[in-house]
Amino acid sequence: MVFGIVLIVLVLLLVLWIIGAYNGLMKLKKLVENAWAQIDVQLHRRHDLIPNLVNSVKGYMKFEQETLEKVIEARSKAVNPGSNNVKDIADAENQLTGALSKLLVVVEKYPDLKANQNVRDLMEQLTTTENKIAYSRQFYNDSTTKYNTKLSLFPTNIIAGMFKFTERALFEAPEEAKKVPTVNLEF
Amino acid sequence: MAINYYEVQQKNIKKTFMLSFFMLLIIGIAGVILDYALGTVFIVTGILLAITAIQILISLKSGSSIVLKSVGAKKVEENTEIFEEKQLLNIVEEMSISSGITMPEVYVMQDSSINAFATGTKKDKSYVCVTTGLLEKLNRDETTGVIAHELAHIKNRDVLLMTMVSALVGGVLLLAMLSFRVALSLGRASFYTGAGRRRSSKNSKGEGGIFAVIAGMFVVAAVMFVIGQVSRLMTFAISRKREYLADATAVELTRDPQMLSNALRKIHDNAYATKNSNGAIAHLFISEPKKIKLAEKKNLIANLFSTHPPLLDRIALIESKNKKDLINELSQK
Repeated sequence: MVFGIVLIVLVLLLVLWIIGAYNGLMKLKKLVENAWAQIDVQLHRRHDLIPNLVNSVKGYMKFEQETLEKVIEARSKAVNPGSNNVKDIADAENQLTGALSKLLVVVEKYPDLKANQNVRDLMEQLTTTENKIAYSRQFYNDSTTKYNTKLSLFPTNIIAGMFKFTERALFEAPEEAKKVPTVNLEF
Repeated sequence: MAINYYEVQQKNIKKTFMLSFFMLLIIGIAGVILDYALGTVFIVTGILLAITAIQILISLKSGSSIVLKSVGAKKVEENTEIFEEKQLLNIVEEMSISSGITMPEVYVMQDSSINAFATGTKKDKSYVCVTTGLLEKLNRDETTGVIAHELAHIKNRDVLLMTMVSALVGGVLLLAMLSFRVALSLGRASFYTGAGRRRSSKNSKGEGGIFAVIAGMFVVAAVMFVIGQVSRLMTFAISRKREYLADATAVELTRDPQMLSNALRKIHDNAYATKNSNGAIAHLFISEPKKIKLAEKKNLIANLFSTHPPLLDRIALIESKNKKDLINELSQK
């Protein structure tokens, strides 16, 4: 009798723990998915903006055709990265980021281009999208790191294996974006 | 020093509670003394605490809209046609993504100075307001630095802390004024009645009682006044620390110290006072809205009474430079 009660209590505790661990993992997974969705929105926005921008600057920039072609090429690769793999997407998008930042530098050299209202609006939209990609990538990587850590720790890793939770890849940033400056505060 | 923001927020909430408790205690003690002096039970204490509670509730509930109205701020709509306003909305959205708070409502106030402030005590409902001077004079990067500083205040829960503290300091000072007035009028009344009575009888027992009450009131008024002033100084000191912390948070949010420090340099060069501000909301702005020049003096008294650290100190800290080198550099221009 006593043995039976102890057994039931133990099984109940185990079930409760499994539910708790499962829910914890699920919550983090949703967070990561949400973070990814945020990046995805910005990436799509960038893909949509580029053809407009290229069309409006083409006429002004006769001597910079190569820069423009690189942007177009990088965009078409980013739109079709070949797989849904985070690493492949990140690689293609990082190349696009590089090509775009070169274009942005070049545009600075053409004052009449910058004065054009339409180009100015497009450039601003592109700049803000670039920044939003950078900031949401940070958020995605933070939540993914949290999720991956929890996934690999004992005993949660047993639950993760049982319910087929798998590790997510980080969205690696281009090299120059990695430094984080800090201010030294002495209180 | 790396900063743990979760810890900072928790500390701020804790500080808010402790300071509020301390101030409420002072107000309560004053009430009990006055009750005792007037021979009433809990009436004065009750009224005082009720007034304070109402004041806090009002400043927490509608503080933001009152502040925005008082400076004549206009909301920036999503479909604005003005390029600078579109850009401002974009910048605020970028910084909200970076800091992980809900996008605040954006306002613009007519003023030629370069300034901005944030208000709102909740993380999911806050407001950022910039001057038209800021939109004109700062470029995209500098504006981003300023907005990051403002969102840092919201993220670190500084607005909550400062709103509560200001409301309570206001309460204590109001109390000092009230007891001073009551003591004064009681004194006058008893002078006339006392003078009348002295002629008719020589019994002075009642008079002694009244004088004790009046003296008590004056003492309470004086003590409250001193406590009020000391807590005002404390508020300024807290506010200055929050500014340094918000600067550091802004650098982490933008990942580029130059954005904020260039903005502060421009503010330093364009030192006008922001007209439409008042002392009660000074701590919300990015740079002290009044007496900017005063804040630059090496005057200890001026520093004690300012809500913000001197601009040069902030720039030097952000750029990790020696203040003397910075002053040399600026004077060579």
